[in-house]
Amino acid sequence: METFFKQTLSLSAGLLLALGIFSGSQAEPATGKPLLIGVHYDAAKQASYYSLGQKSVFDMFVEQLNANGGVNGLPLKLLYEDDELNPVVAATKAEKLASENVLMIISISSSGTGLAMQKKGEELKVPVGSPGNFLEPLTTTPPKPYYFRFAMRDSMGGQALIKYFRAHFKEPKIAVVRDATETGLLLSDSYIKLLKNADFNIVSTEQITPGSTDVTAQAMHVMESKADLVMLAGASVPDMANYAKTHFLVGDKAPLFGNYLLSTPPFNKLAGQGANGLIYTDMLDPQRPEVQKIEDTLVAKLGDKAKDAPFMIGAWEFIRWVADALNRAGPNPTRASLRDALENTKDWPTALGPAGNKVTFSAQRHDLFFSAEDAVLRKIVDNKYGPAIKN
Amino acid sequence: MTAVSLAQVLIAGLQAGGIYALMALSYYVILSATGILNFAQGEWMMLAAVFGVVLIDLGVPYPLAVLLSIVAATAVALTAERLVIRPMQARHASHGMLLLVLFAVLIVVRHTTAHSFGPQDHALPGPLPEGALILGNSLFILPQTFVVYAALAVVFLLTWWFMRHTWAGRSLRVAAIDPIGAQLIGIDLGRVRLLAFGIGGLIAALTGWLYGPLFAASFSMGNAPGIKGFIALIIGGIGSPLGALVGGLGLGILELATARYASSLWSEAVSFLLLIVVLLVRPNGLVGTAEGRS
Repeated sequence: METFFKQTLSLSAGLLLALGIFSGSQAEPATGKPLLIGVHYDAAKQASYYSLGQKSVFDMFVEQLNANGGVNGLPLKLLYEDDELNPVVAATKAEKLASENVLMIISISSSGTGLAMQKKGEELKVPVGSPGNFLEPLTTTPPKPYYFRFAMRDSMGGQALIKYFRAHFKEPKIAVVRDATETGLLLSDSYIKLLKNADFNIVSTEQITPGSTDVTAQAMHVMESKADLVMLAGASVPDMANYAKTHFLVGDKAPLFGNYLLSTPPFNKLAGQGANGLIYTDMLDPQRPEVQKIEDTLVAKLGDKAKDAPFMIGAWEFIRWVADALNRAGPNPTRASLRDALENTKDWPTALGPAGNKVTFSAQRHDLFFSAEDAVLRKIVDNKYGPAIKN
Repeated sequence: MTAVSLAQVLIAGLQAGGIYALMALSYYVILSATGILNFAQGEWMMLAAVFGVVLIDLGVPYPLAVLLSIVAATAVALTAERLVIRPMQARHASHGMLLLVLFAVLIVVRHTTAHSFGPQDHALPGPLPEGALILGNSLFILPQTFVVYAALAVVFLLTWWFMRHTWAGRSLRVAAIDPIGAQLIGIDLGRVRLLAFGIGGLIAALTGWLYGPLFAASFSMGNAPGIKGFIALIIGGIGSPLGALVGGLGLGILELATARYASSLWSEAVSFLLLIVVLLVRPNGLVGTAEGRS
């Protein structure tokens, strides 16, 4: 019981920092030389939906932070660079941001450009972090000294699903459906490897050409394979939605499972009735009061685009954590002191992950999501993104 | 291979191919009149769908939203011709330069749309209710498929009739084959170009309303149909509307048949393989002529 109260108290304190300080604080607006943080994002390509959503959250947070005293009285300033979804451009932008004396670079573009940024971060000794890059190779053992992330990497979501499969199916035959986008192929390969390593029988692997109007052939193959369950392991939301719709139309009763990228509208709208019953991995439990409170705050300022958008809540938590680390890095933070502050994060309450989750980093751990238990499974019910389910 | 599965492949292949054929027709009209390969055709298609989403969200009645969005997207196509192509041609820019500048137009339009309307995918409703028509036990057809078939038939016949049997259509073809001769007989090349871009833009914009309900509406939706439409035109033959039709439908059926009877892992590669084979064996396309290619 005591632990529960301590957790509740620390979480409340965290939320107060996240939400309360902006509305009720009497702090003076921050003045002086700003603390610079670089951000690379995708302005208008395939990752821009996530990029621009997370950018709007960052802007909102920084505006409110600076109006309420900033970090140790200094304003925080974000310097944005469009990486054009190109790793080579991203590396160039990393050098540009480093030359502008940023204390850290945040990746809110694709995992591919994030990987390029990670390499540059190590080379230039600039801390790099991401709330959204899920690519597995970004996590290494031991972790790269300058790289940190809040995003749920592929294997954590995959492990959570594997745990669910083992609990609910007896030696299931699995069909994997993917799209032929670069991210889709990387993601699905990662899932296929995980499933094979867990000794599951993959009876069909179907691929959708991006932009296809019809995926009947793929749905028929899956049905004929007599798969017990179907894993939607692609990255193109309209293509995955097209599959779910067709899966329903051909009358295949095998349940659908999906990855984190399906956790955001319009998958549910595009897939219609085919979306119902889909179980997918997510980085948060929407029933947690702190999640609801952050979502309400975001929706009040940014409108409906912040509804059912876990990646935006992830961005909020990430920038809140960076601000907290800057605060802990001392009155004149440097890249080195900020890196140490990020790494020395202990029991930092977060709305991400299951109830009671806290961020504790060390020299051995720079990932928020570190085990299958950290991931959340959710289900689409009545075409709505539903609550977390027990795993 | 059962009769039912073959029928399903044909239904789906003709639907996918119908979209490719319409895009190929939109390329054809401009190419046949001006010799210009307008890679931005997919963007007019995208604009119509994105404008449509906005208008429907604003509560504009469906038929009016369709009409207004198609008019608006076509207007953008015409504006591109006036502001970009016309000045370039006045300076005797090569086709290579025009190709490059139209590619730049594509990027500008795509980025502007993403910034203005957001990068998210949106559901675009079709004119008919959702839900499949089930034939027998296992054959199903989406209502939108019938809309694609009907639109393709109408657009193909109108394009064919216009190009072959109207003075304006014949002017388009003459202007492309012999621009100087066309001017000598009183054909205004500027008007011909504008007309070609207008018709091409109109067909592409209409295709946005056929493709959007089957996929999604977003700033990047023009990419796949734009590329496939071009491949379809090369495969079918660039000299006539029939080339666009044959190339589009053939490509659609081939892709779906590959996915169904071979492997879905190969369905995209087979399009490009066919393109290579056709260019090697029949460089004028399946139903094309040397005149069309010239």
